[in-house]
Parts: sequence; C-alpha cells; structure tokens
Amino acid sequence: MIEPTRPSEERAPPMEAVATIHPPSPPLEEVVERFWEAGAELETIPIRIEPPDQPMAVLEQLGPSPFPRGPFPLIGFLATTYEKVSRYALRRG
Amino acid sequence: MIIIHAIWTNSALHLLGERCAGAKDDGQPSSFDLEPSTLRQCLGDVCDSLLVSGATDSELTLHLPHDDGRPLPSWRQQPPSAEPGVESAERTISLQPCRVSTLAFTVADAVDLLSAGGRLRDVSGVDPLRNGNGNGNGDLCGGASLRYWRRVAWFVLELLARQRFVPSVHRTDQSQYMGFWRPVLDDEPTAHNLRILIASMPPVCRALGVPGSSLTAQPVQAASLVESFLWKAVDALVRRCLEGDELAHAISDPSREESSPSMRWLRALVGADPILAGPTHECAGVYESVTGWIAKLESPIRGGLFRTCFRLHPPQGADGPASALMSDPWRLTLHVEGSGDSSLVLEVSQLTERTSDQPRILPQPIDQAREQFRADLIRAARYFPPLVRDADAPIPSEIQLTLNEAYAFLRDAAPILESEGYGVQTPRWWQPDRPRLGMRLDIHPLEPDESVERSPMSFDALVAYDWRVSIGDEDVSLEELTEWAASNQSLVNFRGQWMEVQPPDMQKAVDFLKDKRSGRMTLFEALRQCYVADDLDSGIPVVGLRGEGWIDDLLCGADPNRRMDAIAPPEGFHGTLRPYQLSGISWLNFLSEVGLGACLADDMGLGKTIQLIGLWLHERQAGKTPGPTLLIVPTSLVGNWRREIARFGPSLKVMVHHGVERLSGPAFVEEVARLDVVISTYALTYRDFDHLSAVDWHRIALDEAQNIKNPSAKQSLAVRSMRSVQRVALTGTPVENRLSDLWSIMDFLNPGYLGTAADFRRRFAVPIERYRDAPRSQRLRQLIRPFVLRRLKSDPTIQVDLPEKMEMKVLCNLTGEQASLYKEVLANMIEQIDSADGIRRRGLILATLVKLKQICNHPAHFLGDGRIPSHRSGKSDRLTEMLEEVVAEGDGALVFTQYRKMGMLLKKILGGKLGVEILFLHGGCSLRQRDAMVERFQKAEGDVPVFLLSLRAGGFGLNLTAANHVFHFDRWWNPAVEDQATDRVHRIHQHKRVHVYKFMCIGTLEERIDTLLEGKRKLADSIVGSGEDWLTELSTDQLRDLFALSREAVEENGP
Repeated sequence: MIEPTRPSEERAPPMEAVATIHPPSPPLEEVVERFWEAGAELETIPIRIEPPDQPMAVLEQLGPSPFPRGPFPLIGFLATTYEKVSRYALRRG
Repeated sequence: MIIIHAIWTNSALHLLGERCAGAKDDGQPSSFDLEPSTLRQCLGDVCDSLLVSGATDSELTLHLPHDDGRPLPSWRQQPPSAEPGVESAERTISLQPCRVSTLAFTVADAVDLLSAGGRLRDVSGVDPLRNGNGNGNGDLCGGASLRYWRRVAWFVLELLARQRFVPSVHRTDQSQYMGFWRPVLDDEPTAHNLRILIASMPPVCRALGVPGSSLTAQPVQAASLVESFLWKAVDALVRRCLEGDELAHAISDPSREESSPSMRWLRALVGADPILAGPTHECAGVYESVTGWIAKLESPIRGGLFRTCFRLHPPQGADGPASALMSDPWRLTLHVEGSGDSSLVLEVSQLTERTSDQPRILPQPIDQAREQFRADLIRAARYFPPLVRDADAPIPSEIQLTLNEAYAFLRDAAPILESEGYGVQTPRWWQPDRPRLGMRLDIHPLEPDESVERSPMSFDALVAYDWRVSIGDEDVSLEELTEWAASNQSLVNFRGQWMEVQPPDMQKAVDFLKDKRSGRMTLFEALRQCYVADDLDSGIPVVGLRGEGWIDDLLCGADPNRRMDAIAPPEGFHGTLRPYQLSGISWLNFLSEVGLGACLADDMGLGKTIQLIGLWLHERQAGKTPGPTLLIVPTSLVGNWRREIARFGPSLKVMVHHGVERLSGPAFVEEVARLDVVISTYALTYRDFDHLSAVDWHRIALDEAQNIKNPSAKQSLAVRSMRSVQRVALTGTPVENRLSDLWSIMDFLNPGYLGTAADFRRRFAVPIERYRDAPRSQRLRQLIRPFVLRRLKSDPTIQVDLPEKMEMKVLCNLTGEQASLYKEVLANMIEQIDSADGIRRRGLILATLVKLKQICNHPAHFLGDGRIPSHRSGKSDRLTEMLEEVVAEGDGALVFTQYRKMGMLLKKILGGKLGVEILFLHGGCSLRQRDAMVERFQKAEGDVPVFLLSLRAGGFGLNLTAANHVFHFDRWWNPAVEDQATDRVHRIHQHKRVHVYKFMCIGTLEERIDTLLEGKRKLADSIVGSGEDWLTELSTDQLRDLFALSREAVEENGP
C-alpha cells in the first residue's frame, strides 16, 4: 500500500482501495533531468467525453439492491443520479 | 513570463506561479515566490473569476531542482552531462526544499477550472520548452504539470459521462464509516488509459514528499496521486450534481423518521457530511452489504485450472490457544486447489519445486502455473496488500501477519477475495453465526425482608438488577473489558477463543458498567431498562433478560421445560383438558397471582375459551370467591361463549349483559356481586361505561382482543379505563407480527409497559416492520414473552396432543335484521304449512327450510339485494374473522356452501376484507376452469389461500391438500356429504393437521337440527340417505319447535 503524500486535512474518501499493481514510480532524484516534463504518451490518450455505450451498465452489473426493503428505491435513485451526472459531465466536456 | 504549475496534495489542487526573468537557457534562476494576489490576478484574466476567487491562499514545500542553492527554471533544459547529485564541471543539481505560495482549489473546483474552455486552455496547452522564451500567451503560460492535471480532469469527466462510478462505503482506521462515490476503473480501455496517465506524470507532481520520509527510500507514487484525485473528484462532483436534487433533498431531510442503516448510508452519499451515522454494528452491516454488492463489478477469477486459496491460522501459545499473546504472529498459508475439485489441495511448494509426480491439476508447463498463481496473488494484493510485500521475492508458502493485519484480512479482505473467486478459509470462530458480545440484564427477586412493604410478586416488586456482558453463555468480567478497551485491538483472546471487539465500544461498556452495573428498582423499571436499551449508550447491544426465582418463571412464560407449577384439571370442568391447555391455565393463573396482564394468543382451534373457563374454575376451588370477570366479546360471539361456559363449566354463574332488557345502575352492580362471569360486548363498553365501570372487577377479559387495535376508538378507550385486578386478552391473530395491534393489547394488559404509541412506533414498529431489524425484533420478543403465550398447531408438543382431524362447531348470533326476517318468514310459512297437506305441505316445509337457512347465511342471500356491509350477518362476520387468522398464519382454507348465490356473495365479502383473490368453484364452471382453479390453489403457495366451493360441484373428486382448514358455512345435515367434502383436504399427501369448522346460528333451526342429530346419532345415520326430506314428516307443532327463534339467537347492536 502506498502512503498518501501528506495527511489529508479533510474527511476524504479512502486511499486503501487504490490499486497498487502499477509499476512503482522512481525516486525523484533519478528523474531530475525530466523533472518538469510529462511523458510523451500523455498526448496519445484520446479524449472521449461521450455518453455511455450502454446506459446504466454498472447498475445492470450490480444487480438487485443490497437493501431490497430499504426506505428508498436505491436502484431508481442511482439511475436518476447516473443520468444527471452523465449530463453534467457531457456539458462540462 | 509566468509559468503556472499544478500540484495535487490529496486534498486540494494547488496552482503556483514561476516567474522567469529571461530567455531560455540564459542561466537565470527562477523565482517561485509569486504573491498569491498576483497569481490570482493572472488566473482571473484567463479563467472563471468566480472559481479563482473561491480558491484559498496557501503554501507548500516542494522539492525542486536547484543549482548552487538556487532553483532552476522549469523551462531550462538540463545539460546532458548533469547527473543528479554529481558535481559537473560547473555546477551540482540537487533537489532541495523550496517554500512556495499557492492558490488551493477544492477538487470539484479544480475539475471545473481545468476542464473549462477559453484562454486557460490556450495557456495550459503551451509548452514553454517548445516556445522559445515561453511567451506563448502574453506573459502567462502553463507548465506540463498543469497540462497533466487538465488531462486527468478530462479523464474524470469521461468516467462520469460514461457512468463509470458507483456508491460505496469506507471504513477508516478509527472504525468510522463514510459514504462515498468511487470510480469504476476496471474495464480495459479505462485501465489502459489510467496506466498511461500514471506512467506519464511529470516528476514535479510528486515533489511534495512524505513528511519525515526520504524521497529516495519512500518516493511518492504517481498511481497513488492519480487515483486519489480520481476518487475524490468523482465523489465531489457526484455530490455537487446532487445538490438541489429533490430526491437527494428528501433523503437528507433530517426531519424524516427513517433511520435505517441503509437510509443513513444514502444520507452520507448525498449530503455534505460523508460520515455514516449510527451504531457500529449497523454501520458494519452496511459496509458488508455494500462491499459485497459492488464486488460484482470486479472481474472474478474464472477459467483457471486451479484457484488460489488462503487459510488464516491464529497463533498458538506455548500452552495452547488460551496462552497466545496479542503480539504473536498469525499465519496466512497459501494453497491451490483444483477448480473443479476442491478436495485437491496443493501446497505452494509443489508449484515452486519441479517434481517428477507433478500434480494433475496443474497445467503444463509448471511455469504457467507459477505465473497464474503469482498473477492471482498480485490481484489479491489489491484487496490485501500484505500478500505481496516484495514483488521480486519468490512465491511464499505462508505470510506472517500482525494482529491488525489479521483483523483486516478477516474483516475486509476475506469477503471480497471470496466473492472474487479465491478460496478463503477463516477460523471457525469467525463464522457469521459466531457468538458475539452482548449485554444482558439479570434480575433477581429480593429476599422478603429486603423488599419492604412491596408486593412480593408484581410489577411493583423491588428487585435487584445486574448488567452483565457475555459471549454466548460465558460472562465477561469488567477487568477483561477494561483490558480490551485499553489494548485498542479489534481481536482479543477470550479464554482461548479469539473474538472481534470494537475498542471504543469496550470503553463505553466499561464506563457504563462502572456507573450503572447493578442496583435495585421495581420490576417494571427493570424491564423498561431493557425496553429503552437504545438510550443507555452501553456500547454493546442489549441482547436479553435473565431472571431468577419467580422472575425467571415470569420471563420464561409457559415454557413446559420451566418449573412453573402445573395445576391439576380443575374441579367442575366438564370435559378433558389437554396437557398444553393445563399449561396455559397454569400460566394464566401465575400471571393473575402476580397481578400482570396476560395475552393468550394460541392458534385458532387450540381451545382458548376452555382455558379461560378452566382458570375461572381453578380460582373457585375450595370455596374461594375471587370476584367477577367482565368478559367482553364481539357481538357475534356472545351466544357461543354462553354455550361454551354452560357446557364446560356449568357451575359458573354467568349473566349476559346485552340486549334491551339488560340491567343497569345499582341493580346491575347488585346482580354482578353474586356472579362469576358477565358477558358483554365491545359496543356496550362505551355505551354502558357508567354501569360497567361501577363494578370492581376481579378481571376484565377480552375475546378477539384485536378489536381494541385502534387505541383512540371509543370502545378501546372505555375498555382501557375500567378498573380490575387483572386483565386478560384472547386473540388468535399472531400479534407479534402486527405491531400496532400488539401495542394496543399490551397497553391494555400492562399500561405503560411498552411506552407511548409514538415511542413504541419509533423504537420498534418502524425498525421492525419497515427495515426488518432482526435484533430489535428479538428484543421485543423477549420483552413481550412474559405476557404473551402463543402456541401453534404445528408445535411438536401440541402435535402429539391433537388428533389428525379436529372438528368444532362455530356458533354465531343472528343480527337484528336477520332475526326480524327470520320471524316474519316463520310466522307466514307456519300458517301456510298448517293449512296445507300432501305434496304442497312438503313443498312448503322445504321452502321454509331454504328461506330460513338463507336468512341465517346472510340477509342479502335471502333478499337478493346485493348489499354486503359488515355486521349484516353474524355468520359471514365470523367467517371473515376466522379466515383473517388463517391467512395471517399462511394456511389455506376451503369454504363450502350449498348455494352458488351465497358463494358469489362470500367471494365479494371475503375478497374485500382479506385483500386476496378468492377462487370460487361452482356448477357453472367448465372442466377447464375447474382444473385451472384446482391447480392454481395447489401451487399458489399462499397467494390464493381461500377456495370457495359449492358443495355439489366441489364436494367430491378433488385433491385440495394445500388447505388445512375446512369451513362448512351452511349445513347439509348429511354427515356423509360433509365428510366427503372435508376429505378434499383430509387425505393422502396432507401433512398438516386438518381443522373442520361447522357454522350454525344459535337459537335457530340450524342449531336445533344439529342438536337433534347429535342426540340421535343412530337415527341420524339411518336417515342420512334421505337428506332433509325427513323434516317434511314432522308435525306442525314439531316444526314450530324446530324452526322457532329463541331469544338468545339475536345479537343486538343497540340498547
């Protein structure tokens, strides 16, 4: 597990579940010569701020709510949230 | 020229400005001391000024390249010969801390800022290295780090636009739970782009360093920074989108009553505060449910030739498990097992050493197996990092864990790994049904001289109480709790068995026990402590009550294994009481002696009536005169009660307080004084309240006590305000499942015990009925157990007592309307019969019989007016009540009637009252319809619990074993026909006891013919073949006697 670079000053989402399977970063002293540069591959990442190929795909993967008798229809609430957030991101993009 | 750089610190994106004095590579040092106000002004010129004004002034210490103690400009190319830390001919380049001023943006504002169009995009798109002196956009340009985080911000928007995020929950190291929205990064295109993002991060982004750590030994990881930005940005932006959303607003509305764990999770997802409020165990439940749910998104391990397994072993002390120390290491051993055969388990050494007898579950060559195993291990390390402490080390066969790591494995990793397809073996003590810590209230009676001037056995009795913490049956000492609280560990060794505890809860429990561990109070107050346990803040859930002596008897109810004294069959009881009925009488008697109210809620047909009659007789043995009981019953049951008392307890002096000629005032009080039982009705409790409340009753008993379920109804208020030494409620409905009924009945029996209706609703009804809160349900069951006795026909102890088929007669009263119709028809027809002879006379007699039976069934059956409101027919009201109990129990019932017209009426009545579909099979149904109905009833599993049948169409040839209750709504007077109908249910493949109810109206021809046939059974048998024709042979006087309507037949609703 990688430690955060600095203790968070706010209540924040977790870091513990962050994937750690990426190659480790080299010490800074070893990369001073390109200290201010981004890797060339950065420019190869396509920018695709687009609607999902299949709306609500995550919800479909998740299946029924873990709280079927809960006071709110969780899946309905999430479906609304997905649509709303997706529209927001598309506007920003 | 000013160059803007961006640094992400896990909590904010910081922008800082680098002031460059000269042209490229002129050797002039850069200055990073740009004032925030200048930076703010520069940024305000190129991007949303509102966002810029929302940023806060801040400072960071960055490790930047220096040359001779001065920071090098970012756009300056390094001399090829310059090795880090190596002195070149002219200079030494090294990383040195540098304090810089910044503007800090929240992550949501940062995404807005970075993804915005306009001039900032132009600025950040300019590379000063390629742009000569960097004057790409006037005096301002963006560095690679700004461009980099801008690309990450777009990545975030891509995730959101493509709906790749999910709600989740996180547990902090302090055992606090937080709701948050996290990205879903597992699809291959996303994972690919993420890998590129991580690999191409400019080193300057990692210049912040870990406080107190060496940059070389513990470099900041690009993956950590990128993923932290993604997670926080996704969470912040989803919350921002939900601001102003109506549903989100409704969820976060603090005035809403719902406080279920799932609701609190939703609140933690939509509001500003991500903390998941509530007791630790409830939050842990949410955590397990949600993590298990979203684990479905991860790619399960499938298709391999074997699967990787983990087995956790607790430490063994020198003298066995009990001597294991908290500091002893735990072992996590690694294995592989065949994917199709879990019995084939291999040690890891068999993967790492080539042997001649290579196991058959392994692929060829063995290198592939090692690769798959290592890949599995690396994947598993995402959820449990200690699995791969050193990526370059050989595959281990076991891993040693600290106590904290072992707990993290059990709590967090094991469920996820299991859902991912790994094999996980946890110790037996970690199974879901493991004993857990619970708080228990022990209550002991005081010695007689200790409870001065108090009733020795009553709610007011002074008792000693003692709070204890236990695991299963073993008590935990205060010293042990204190030690656990101080250890600050979540796994503790309790007498050789490891178990989970929450140190903060342990401290609460210690504080609670030191303050309130034991004392004295009344029994009522002691039991109430258990009721209000939520308010005690004891840190540990209250799981039960335990008593000693008579309190133990009270708390255990009529459990046959307890030592409550069993009474002998009372003198004067005419009939046989089954053992469970004697046990019920003992229980009623015990509670009566203690002065507490009792609810006898046995299943329908188990004899609640005769148990109360037995109690009356028992109390009157040896010449005792305990005082009268006021028995309040539904109007339709007045006659039935009188008959039953006359039959089983004829020595009891009974008066029916009902009808226009009922007594009132002093005459009533005077008469009651010499009686044992006064039967009255719910309606009269309100109307005759002044008369009824003038008597000091020994007992008030309610039959069908659910009639007071509406606590504000006048009759409920009247019943609750009458004085008596003891109160009893009889009901056949499962009151523990109908909490509003339960509260009303308990408040009648033992006022105040379950608090106010609103309090009860908040503490129990809402959590149990709406959220299926099992622990609370268990606590309520314990609280009411002393006062509610419910035996089911299916109970093994009851089963052995009962015959396979039980028949009972259900006596119903006529309503006033039925009685007047009955009298009118009878007067008219008897006159005609008397003056007729031959075939006409026989026809008139049979017609009269039919009309009177129709009237007994329902006025609408006779009049054909189709009006079916309640209280028009005593029989249909009673049938409805009984079927409500059948449906509530999940049983099935057949209802037979001779008349198709009555069947249609019952279909409407029952459908409306029971709220379920009623099947009706009659002679007009086609064979196909008939088969379809039978099949549906047999397979419906409770969806269609009531099947109406006309006796002719459904009385034979069918197999309807899904029912175990048979109601004969009207009588054929032919036992063979009725038995044949009953046998639709009571036949092979019937696995339940069958209950048969034969309905008849009191004081009418129905009851008289039944009595006649019962009394002359041989005669009846001989006339079986002739149906009802034998009636036509009777003389007019005999007919008049047979058909006459007696006074007791009529129920009267008004004075």
